[in-house]
Amino acid sequence: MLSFVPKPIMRIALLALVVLGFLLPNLVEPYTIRVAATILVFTVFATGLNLILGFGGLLSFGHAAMFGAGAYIAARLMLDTGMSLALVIVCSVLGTAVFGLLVGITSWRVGGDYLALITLGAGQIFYLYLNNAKEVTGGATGLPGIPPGVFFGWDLTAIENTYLFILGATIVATAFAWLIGKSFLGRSLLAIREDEVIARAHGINVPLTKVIVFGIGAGIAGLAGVLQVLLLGFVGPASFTVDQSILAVEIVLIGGMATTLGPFLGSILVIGSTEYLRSLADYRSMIFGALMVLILLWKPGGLVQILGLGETRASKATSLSALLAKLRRSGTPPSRHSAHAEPVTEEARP
Amino acid sequence: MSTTVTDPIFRATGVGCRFGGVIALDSVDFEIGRNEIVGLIGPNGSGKTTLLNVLSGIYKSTSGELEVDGRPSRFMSSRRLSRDYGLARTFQNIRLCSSLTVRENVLIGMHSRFKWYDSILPFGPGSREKKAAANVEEILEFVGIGDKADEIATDLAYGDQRRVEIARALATSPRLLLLDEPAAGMNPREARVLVDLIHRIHAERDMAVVVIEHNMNVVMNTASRVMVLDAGLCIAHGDPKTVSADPHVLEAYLGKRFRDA
Repeated sequence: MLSFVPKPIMRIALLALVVLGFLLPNLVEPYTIRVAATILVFTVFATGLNLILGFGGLLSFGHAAMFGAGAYIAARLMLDTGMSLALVIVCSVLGTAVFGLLVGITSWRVGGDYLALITLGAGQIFYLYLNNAKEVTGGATGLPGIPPGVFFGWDLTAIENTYLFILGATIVATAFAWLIGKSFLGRSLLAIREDEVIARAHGINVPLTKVIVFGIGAGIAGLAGVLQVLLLGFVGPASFTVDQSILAVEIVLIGGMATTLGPFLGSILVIGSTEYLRSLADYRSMIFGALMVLILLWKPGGLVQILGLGETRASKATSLSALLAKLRRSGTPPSRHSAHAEPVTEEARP
Repeated sequence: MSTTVTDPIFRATGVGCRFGGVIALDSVDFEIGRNEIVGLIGPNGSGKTTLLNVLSGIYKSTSGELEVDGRPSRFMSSRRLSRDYGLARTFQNIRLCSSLTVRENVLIGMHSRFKWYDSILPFGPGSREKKAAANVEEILEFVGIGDKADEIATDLAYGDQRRVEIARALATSPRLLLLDEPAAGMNPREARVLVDLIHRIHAERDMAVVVIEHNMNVVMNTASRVMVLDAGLCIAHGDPKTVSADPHVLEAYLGKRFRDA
């Protein structure tokens, strides 16, 4: 849609958007700032999933657990210890990354639908744990009254400051994901998503790469968890249900798989509409469900492709069934049983 | 029948591969010298591609011994064979990443050159990413598609997609290149260019090449040694002229009636 605009102008527009983002607290009322901050938190959350699902093609329905792990680790540290915010962030991100690696290890042997089920299960276990381990997590009531953070002398009590901090973190996370996507790791993930046999035949360690991307994606989601705590000053299990995992999958698919701006655009549409179109209530999921199917069928690059912003490296599955078949194929166990992984077809030839 | 190779890069002894009750490879003895072009021919379903899959570690053989550089390789993964032993291959049904450009597809072949920290520091002066990119340009020029680096790989013409596959295999800096029907779907002119390319790969890049091919012109003009498979067994072996006159080969391709024709 916007692909006719020359590249330099697009760059300037993007820069203007970032500047506008920084000026936003001076322009609008606190409610809008809060919505904008929520959108940014979900941008970071979906950026983590984008590496796993968009690049690696690994369908994870347990990403809210990573989000939650980051949030609860941060909340506990901020309540119990006087740690500086920077240290809290480092601990939460690393802790969540380890949690992600543990969940990711399951992708060593399973993929496709089975991996989706396992991650769904991991998410549910985590949710039940949050509800029942009352001494650690506060049970269903959660942990209220988390003190606002101080980032190297910068007091984040005011919503404006919290927003600016979240904006900065979002830019860092997006830039990090962009670097990963541009690097050899991003390419090997795309190769794994497209065809595991060629990935293996060209020296890529397929199982290890999958586990690592789970760790990185979880770490980024952990950062989103910390930001959520800073924004709300409260954590409760209701924010980390399977609904949130599905919301993240929606954001990635609608925004555009394996794109840099996809998570941000997806968040604007999905989270923004939750806030501003409350009257639609439950019809929202219906609309987004339909939108997701339409995007998978015709515009696999999501909003990024529709708007013509940047390159699209989404899976070129021309139909939903082809995409599902691809996801299912990636579930075929590796080489030892691969007698059927590559059908022995001989082309008929005159 | 057997032509012995001194100091082979790859040796297969009595290699068999069966899928349930189907015997794809019965028992094949096979050697590849350090610097030769070997042709592998046989009727459809004779086990050529299975043999290639077994050599490159994609299938595991169910019997026999495999050796690469004198080390047993029967249970090595295709990743290890590619990374540590310089084994590269192309695929019969073209397997390119459909969402990536030609350049990125070839860069996949350079995966093992990168260190983990290149994933967060891919740029900057003297970065591996830059060196690899320069190398990709050179390889694409070499196979003759230097002007198509930024196109989406699967948008290219069929013959060019074959070349991208060869380029991607060359990007791993192999010592042994396995080509599975590189001339499939090519017209005679393209096939002649391919023959040139195979000769140049062999001469300028100093590697052993195994070519599976149905196009006899390609096989006879490139291979110094030809092996014929039929029903999972090696039925003839030797220089191209001798093999094409072998009665067993004629029978396998044309039936008993033509055996003495």
